[in-house]
This record gives sequence, structure tokens and C-alpha cells, in this order.
Amino acid sequence: MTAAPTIHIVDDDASFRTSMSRLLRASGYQTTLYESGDAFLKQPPDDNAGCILLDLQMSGVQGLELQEHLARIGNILPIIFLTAHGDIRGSVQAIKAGAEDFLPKPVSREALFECVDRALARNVEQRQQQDRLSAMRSLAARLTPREAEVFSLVVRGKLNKQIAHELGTSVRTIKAHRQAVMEKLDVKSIAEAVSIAERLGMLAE
Amino acid sequence: MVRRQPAMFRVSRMPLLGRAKLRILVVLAVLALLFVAVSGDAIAAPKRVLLLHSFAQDFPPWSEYSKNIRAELFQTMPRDIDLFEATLETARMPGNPDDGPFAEYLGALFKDRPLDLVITIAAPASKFFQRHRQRLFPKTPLLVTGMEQRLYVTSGDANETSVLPAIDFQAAIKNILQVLPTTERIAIVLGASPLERYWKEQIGIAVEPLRDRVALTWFNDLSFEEMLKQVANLPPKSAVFFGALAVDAAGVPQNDGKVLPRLRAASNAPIFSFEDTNFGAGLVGGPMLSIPEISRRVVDVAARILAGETAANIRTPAVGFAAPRFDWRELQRWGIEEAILSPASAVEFRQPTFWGEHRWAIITIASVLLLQAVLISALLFERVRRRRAEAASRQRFFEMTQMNRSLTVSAMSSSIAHELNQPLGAILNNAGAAEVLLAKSPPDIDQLREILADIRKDDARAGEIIGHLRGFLRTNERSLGEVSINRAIADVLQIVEPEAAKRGIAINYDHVPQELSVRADHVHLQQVLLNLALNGMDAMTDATPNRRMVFQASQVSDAKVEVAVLDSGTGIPEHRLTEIFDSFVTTKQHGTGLGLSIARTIVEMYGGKIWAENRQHGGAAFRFVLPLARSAA
Repeated sequence: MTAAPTIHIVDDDASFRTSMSRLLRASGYQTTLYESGDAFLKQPPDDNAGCILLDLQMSGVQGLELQEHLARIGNILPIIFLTAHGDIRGSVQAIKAGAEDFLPKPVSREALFECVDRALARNVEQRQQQDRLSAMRSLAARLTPREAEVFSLVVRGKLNKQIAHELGTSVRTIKAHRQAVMEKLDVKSIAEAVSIAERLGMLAE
Repeated sequence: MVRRQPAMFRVSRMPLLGRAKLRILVVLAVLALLFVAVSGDAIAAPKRVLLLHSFAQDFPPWSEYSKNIRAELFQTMPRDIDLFEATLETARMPGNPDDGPFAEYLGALFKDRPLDLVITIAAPASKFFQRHRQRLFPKTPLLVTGMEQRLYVTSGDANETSVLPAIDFQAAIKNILQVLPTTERIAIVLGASPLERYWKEQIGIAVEPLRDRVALTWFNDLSFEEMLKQVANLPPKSAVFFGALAVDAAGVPQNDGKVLPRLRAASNAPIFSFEDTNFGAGLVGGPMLSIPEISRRVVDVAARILAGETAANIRTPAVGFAAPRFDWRELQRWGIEEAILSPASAVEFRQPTFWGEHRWAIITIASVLLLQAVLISALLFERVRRRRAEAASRQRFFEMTQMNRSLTVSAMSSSIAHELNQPLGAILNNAGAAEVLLAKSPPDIDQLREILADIRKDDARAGEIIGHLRGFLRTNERSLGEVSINRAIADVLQIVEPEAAKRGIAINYDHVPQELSVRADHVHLQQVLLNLALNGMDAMTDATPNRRMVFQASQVSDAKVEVAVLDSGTGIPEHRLTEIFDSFVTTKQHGTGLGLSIARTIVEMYGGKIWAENRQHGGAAFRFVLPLARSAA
């Protein structure tokens, strides 16, 4: 969890790639280099800490396509696009697809560092959020199937009587299940339980 | 010395008769002669006429009399005349030789064939006849002619009459003074014979009243050769008066008819005379005796005598000068204005002037020439205008190609900016890294060295991109040279690749192994390729994801190279395959419609051809051929 973040540079221009990496490394960042989007997909990073510096215009798999692809596979690494001046169409598309930031080429050192740091900070935040979420998931995983059923009905605001009727059992039994759920999820109020259910995406169904 | 006119000779003087008729007449004449010879007398015997000459027959001017009289006689009475001619040569002999035997001879000759008429020409013949007629030809009428009237002494015989010229020397000399008023000296050409000396006297008397106006030089005592020398060196304001030249002072007879032409050739002054024998042969002219006219009258009188009239009853007044006649050529030669001539004058031998004779031809030719000149001027003017227009149009074309290049580059500006920003960005990053590294101690020298090398490399790369663009956009004069097709395509690829990358188009070019060069401006060739490339890329905008563009080059014959730009786009509707090369024809929303048109113009400018076709499996192919700079061996 505390591994040093890596900056993944994806640019088909070797010279630019190298220089960027050189600058970042000299300033204490870790970098990995990819000569194309394909190369990045072939060997995706196994660590979630860091960000991606992605050239918007490349031959082969282009920046936007890579962004799309990464989004599909649940990438949480923020993407900073590197773009030439004036490519408005590409930039708009990238923002819509959730790009973290934009950097024009050539970019000043200060702007680069500021942008990278911001992205990394967000990455940290996202990773913490993700950690919390996985903790909740592991709590929820401890529920028995019957408890899970009761949990989903409770967070939807059903009364014990309704739940007992729905599940074909007694209110008393439901109360016991309910107690077990509160304990297993380590919550003290229904509101807390609802919040967990929401984060786990159960309410969207 | 009597010559009888042969029948043939006679009939040949009848120009009006045809050939067949002539032959019949000859036969008839011969028969008639035979008949006369046998019978001695004839019912229809022809009139016997003797033409008695004083001098040799061809002796001018009397030869003119005989010639004219002969002709007139045969024309007036062709069948009735049996003409004999005889010549009294004694007149030319010095010391009056005895002419008795000649008279006896004639008497004997015509004893049995009495003459019907004798015509004597010149004084000696008439005197001879007058002396002997009582004895030999008592009944034969005599017609005297060929002598000046003052030389004639009539015998008073009833059988004698005359037709004589009268020479007015004063009038003749006055004519010279009238025609050439400045004349101061007149050289009189006269022979040395007694008769000619007589005429010298007569002329002297006639000209006496003009003595104060004009001086006379007499040639009587000169040989003809001396005369020629004299007339060649006459002082200015001189004239020559040709009297007569029977025998010159050297005793040489001048009777060959060449006298006047030779005089004329030698003389530096105009020549005049009193009779028209030599008119047309160098005489200026004036009032002159007309020998044809006198001859006509002689024959008139002869006819009347032969018809039975008594000769003495026919009185013919002396024939004076005919109306003045002038030789136009001589007038021209001596600069005599026609206005100065008396109104009755006739000007003959008028040679039509070039203008007069060829007026219409001249006008036509001149008009044609003028028209031609106008046409040529117009064409020259037109040519100058066309050249100017061509120069202007060429200028416009180059401006347009320039604009086209600018537009092309600006259309690709974002790609180009990106392309340029790569090295610039790299340089900036490297510089930043270097700064960071320098702040550390100890700084990483090896890496700094690496960084500097990279900066240098990237700078060169940026410079190259800019150089390419500048070369492509340059406005200065074209430079014609040998351009390698391989190089031109490689250069164009370098310009166009970023744009292709941006649009996700893969561009391919297989270098041809042999070096193919064309003679052209490098920029123009690049422009053709670039226009075709951009056109192809635009055609692929809506095409399948597999966008490919291929450049090909190959030698198609000894002297040509074919370059093709193939795309995998939508192709071209068949009916527009040729139209797309026209100006302002575009299928694109933002196209100028000039790209392909400019490409075609450039290709054609270098003697090539460009065309488009659809590929079998989709997409279009644009091909052009250009002549190779050196045909590959």
C-alpha cells in the first residue's frame, strides 16, 4: 500500500519519452516507459500507485483508445494527456472520457510537477477509497445468505413485519438476523448500514 | 543588171492570201510565164513596169522608196504587174562613166516586150532615162520620184510626170531649236559625193537666217569613223542633223543601213533628220518626209498611167514634210518635255511606263503587301500580347502553386505543430532534467553528457522539419534540376506522415532500387505528390479503419517513370475520373478544388501526363508519368 508511485509514460516518440522520464526521475519520481498503447496493454502495471502520462497523438493504438480501454478494465490510474496546441477536438473527447488533466507539449517543469503531484494525490485518495470499499466488501462477505437477504431488505426501509412476511418467517427470527447483520457489518445504526449498501452498489439494482 | 521579180517573190508579198491559195497562184504564174514566152503576145499580158534605181537597191534612203513602191504596187494591182528592176550603178562612179551600153542593153531587153511604165528613183536614173528615152523607149511613160523637187528638170515630154518630195531644211533646223531651245551647235552629217555637197549648199542657204542662233559644223570632209569620234565628243548644247551619207570623205560607201544606229550609239547629242527612213532607229523626230506617203502617191500615179491616162496630165505637187513625229524613247533620253512639241505632233514608240503597264498588278501587289504588313504587325502585336499574357499567367500559376502549398501546410498545421513539439518538448524536458541534476552534488556528469547529446539531436531534428517546410514553402525562383523520385517521395512522406498518423493512416513506400530522376523543380514534384497524398487521405476520412496509402514508382519505358499514389478510400465515381482534375472541382467541404488541377498543370508543364482510376478492391489510384532526365540504359 505504501509503495512509491510510478509514472507511466506512453509516447511513441523515443526522444520525448526519454527526456520526460529523465526529468521526472531526476526529481525523484519513478517512471516506466511504453513506446505505444499496445505495449502498455501488453504489460499493464501491477501496482495501482501512480499515474499515466499519455500522448494524445500516436500511430497505432491512440491515446483516446487506450483511455477507453483502461476505463473498461477498471483502471484507477489518473491519465494526464500530453497534447500539441490546438487539438481541441481530441481534448474535449478526453475530458468527457474522464481524463485527469492536460499538458501541452512542450510543457514547463513546474506545470508538469504540479500536474503530476495532483494526479498522484488523487490516485492516493482513490486508492484509499478503494481500500475502504474492499473492507466493506469483506464485511458484507461474512453475512450468511439469509442475513444478506435481510440486509438488502432492511436498507430499502422495509419493516421487520414486512420482511418476515416476505421471507415467510417470524418477526422474531428477522430481528435475530438483523442483529447479526449489524454486528457483522460493525454498524450501530440503520443509517450506517444504508451507507454501506449504497457504496457497495446494492441500491442501484 | 536587170532583175526580174520571180513569181514566188511576187506572191510572197500578198500577205492576205492563204498558203493553199499561194500554191495555186504560183502554178498559175508559172503557166502564165510559159504562155507569154511561147506566144510572144498575150491577150491579158501583165503591165510591164521597170523600177530603175540610181544606186544600189539597198541603198538608203532610196531603198525605202523601192521597198514601199514595190509593196504598194503589188497591193494595188497584184495580177497586172510584171515588175522589173534595174540599177544604174554609174551614179556612184566618179568621173561620169559612159552609160550608153547600159541603155543599149535595156533597149535590147525590152525591144519585143515594151514597157508600160518606167519609174525612176533618184536624179541619176531619171536623167539617164530622159537622155535615152527618145531613142529606146519613145512611148514608155516615165514617172520620176526619189529626188528632191529642186533637182528635177522636166523634159517637157507628155509621157513624163513626177511625184517629188520637197525638203524644207529651215523647218527641220527650226524644229531642233524648238525642241531643244538651248541648242547652240548643230553638226550636219553629210557625205562627200557631189550630190551631198550640193545639199550642203542648200542647207547652208536654208539655215542662213538662223546663223546668229546656231552654229553649224559640217562633216562632209570626214570619214565615217572620224564622224563617229566627233559626235561622241560634241560640246554641250549640241545636236546632230543627219542629212545623207552615201559616200564618206574616205570614199567608203555607207549604204549598209547601219549608219544611223552607229551614229546614235556614238553620239552624245540628239540626232535629227529630214526624212523618216531612220525614224525609230535613233532619230528624235520632227517634221520629216514620209517615204511611205510619197511611195503611196507614186503608186497612185502609176496606176493612173497604167490605166491609160497621159502622164503629163497628172500633176502632183511636191510632197512636203508630214506632220511631226517624235520617238518617245529619244524624248525621254534627252529630257524633252512633250509639252514643248507642237500640238500636231505624234509621239510614237511610247514605252508604257512600269506603272502604266502593270498598274493593276502593282496596286494588287502593293495591297497584298500592305495587307500582309498589317497582318504581320497585328500578329507580332498579338504575339507580344500573348507572351505578356503567358508570362502573367505563368506568374499567376506560380503564385497559385505557392498559395496551394501554403494552404496544404496550414491544413496540416496541427500535425506539423505536434511533429515540431516533439523535439522541442524533449529539449525542454532534457534542459529541466539537467538543471535538477546540476543542483545535486555531485552532479551526474555522464547523464548530463547524455542529455546534452540528446538536446543536440532533437534540435537538429526540429531544424530538419522546419527546413523541409521552408523548402516547400519557398517563394523564390524555381530551380530546374534533376530530381530523384525516391528522394522526392521520401521528403513528401516526412511532411505528410504526422498528418497521416493523426488520421490513423498507414503510409507505405517501397524505394525503387534504381535511381530514377526527372527534370523538374524539386518543390513542384513534391507539391504534386503532396496534393495527391492529401487528396487520398481526405478520400479515406469515411473509410474503413484499415486506412492505407501506398506510393509506388516504376520505370515504364526507356524514357519514362510512372508514380502512383494508391489509397483505400471510397474511390471516385466513374464519370468524374477526368473532371476531378479541373479547377474548382471539389468533393470536399473545405477544399479549394485546386489541388489536383495544380498537380495536373505541373505534370503537364514537365511534359508528363496524370490520370486517376479506381482500384479493383476499393480505393483510387492516381498515377502520373514524367520523362526521365536520362533514359536508363
